Amino acid sequence: MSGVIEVQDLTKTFHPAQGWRSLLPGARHVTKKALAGVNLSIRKGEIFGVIGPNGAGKTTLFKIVTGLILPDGGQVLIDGIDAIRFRRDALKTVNMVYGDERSFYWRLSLQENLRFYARLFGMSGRLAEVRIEELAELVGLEADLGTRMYAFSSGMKQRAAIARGLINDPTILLMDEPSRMLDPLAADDIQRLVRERVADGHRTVLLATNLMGEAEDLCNRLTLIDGGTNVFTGTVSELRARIVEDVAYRLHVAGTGHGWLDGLAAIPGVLKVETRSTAGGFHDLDIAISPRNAVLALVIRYLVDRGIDIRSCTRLEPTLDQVFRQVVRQRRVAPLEVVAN
Amino acid sequence: MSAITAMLRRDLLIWLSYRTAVLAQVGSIFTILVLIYFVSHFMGSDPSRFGGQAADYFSFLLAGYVFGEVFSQTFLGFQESLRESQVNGTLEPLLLSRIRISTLILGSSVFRVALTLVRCTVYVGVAVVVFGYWHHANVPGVLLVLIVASVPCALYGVLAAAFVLKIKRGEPAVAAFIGANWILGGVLFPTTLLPTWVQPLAMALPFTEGLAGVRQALQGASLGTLVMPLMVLAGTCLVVGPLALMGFRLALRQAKLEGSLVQY
Repeated sequence: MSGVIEVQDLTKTFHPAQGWRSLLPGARHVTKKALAGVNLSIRKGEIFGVIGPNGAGKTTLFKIVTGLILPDGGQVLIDGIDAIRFRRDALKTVNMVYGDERSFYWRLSLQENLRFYARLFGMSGRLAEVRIEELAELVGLEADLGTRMYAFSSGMKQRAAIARGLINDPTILLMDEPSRMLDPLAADDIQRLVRERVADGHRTVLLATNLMGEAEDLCNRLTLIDGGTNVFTGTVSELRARIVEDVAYRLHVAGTGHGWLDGLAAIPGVLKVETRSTAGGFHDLDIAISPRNAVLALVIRYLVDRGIDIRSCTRLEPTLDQVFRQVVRQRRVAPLEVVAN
Repeated sequence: MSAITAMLRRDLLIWLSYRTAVLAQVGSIFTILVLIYFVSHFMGSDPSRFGGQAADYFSFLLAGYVFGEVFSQTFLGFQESLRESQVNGTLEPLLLSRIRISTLILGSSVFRVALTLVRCTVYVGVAVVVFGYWHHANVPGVLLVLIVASVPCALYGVLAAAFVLKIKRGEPAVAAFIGANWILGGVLFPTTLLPTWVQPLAMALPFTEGLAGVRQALQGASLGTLVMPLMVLAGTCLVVGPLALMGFRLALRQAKLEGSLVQY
């Protein structure tokens, strides 16, 4: 156990309000299990992704880590301090970036908002002003410091949320879906900001996201949460290797003959073949093969023997998005073994 | 202290950002004064009807209204601010700053109370300068009673905030509390005019002793005379204080357990 954040066997069940009827004898009590034994060990300085479908428990996990929700069981250690029992001490250098636009005082300017939070974190006036200028420059809002926040676009509010999250120069920053509700270009901006300016190697970033491209682009490691438990924890490539059992290639070929596709599909280890015509009489041939045995060599020999001209051969990596869909769908049918590295 | 100053500044700036509302508030002071002046003319001016607490009904009603407003705002300040921050979504970022509960309570109410005190000063100033009342007022006595009487109101307000956290819509309970204090607590008429069996209930309300003490001090009563209402108010604080703070801590813990801190 050497992580800057250690989460052990965290459980949380909510009991949604059901009104007065729930007080009657024999009334059915509805419960919703949000976390059912989450374990994490997050290393200093890494960008750690928390991915999972809606309702998987990502936000609940973040709120428990920051003491805004109390768990039913388990432990959260931040720099070795029990964050549930000694919240104030544990959260000294922690802050959070909300994906929710509503978390600012809209009648105040960005500067006044940041000044307010700086004072809450105990920063003196001069230090706060310097920090606010720095952060406004960092998130590209230096020209908008005096603008009231109701005039901000969603992207600007998200940048402002990042500036507020950094106001106390936290060593641990939790980011709860920072690109939610943003258009792709604004989301790209936020991702660039996180990669180039927020994660400086010393700061540990915990990023909850539903955008697999964002997770793939930013995170050193990630955990996939579904149904309140970690389905997987590791790097993106480890997740791919674990989940994706076949390997896909795209061959750009010319000079196909009669019946060649059937013969190709009959090669042992070839799982799937798809082809489509491209310009100039060429074909793109997508094949999925078993990673075991030398199936690719057999495929290439088969094509060469039939006089088919292979112009290129590219390995097709499944995107994290595809992996994510596959895992979640598989779990709906037959739950995967739970793995926590 | 810097957190409380920051919250005071935040609320002041938000208040000032509604410029028309600021002007309307200034206008409302004079509307209220005119209303009180005319209503008091219909009620006669026999001092014996006001239990020695005022020279006439105008000064009785004005003192009741002005200081009743102060007590009301000390009661309402925290729970209204808490509810606003739940609805605005600013409560969680506020709590993330590791702010202490006592600071949150004080900081959330300080602007509303300060604003009411400014209004109160204007009312009293007009009463003294324009209408010639309270020239012999015991000013330190007024301030002392005002401060001591505001504490139990604020503590009841913390209890109300616990209700807001638990049941979200605390308006019915708040309206009942404010209504009972305004009707039975000696704001509009002396409690001595109430039926005998209602008077003990009136004495249990936090406004009653506060208003009686303030009116006595405005009439020039010495500090010695004010000891009794001050003792009663201090006793109320001792009883309500621990209950209010424990109740709020319990409600906050319950909201964190239910995950309902930002639900509204």
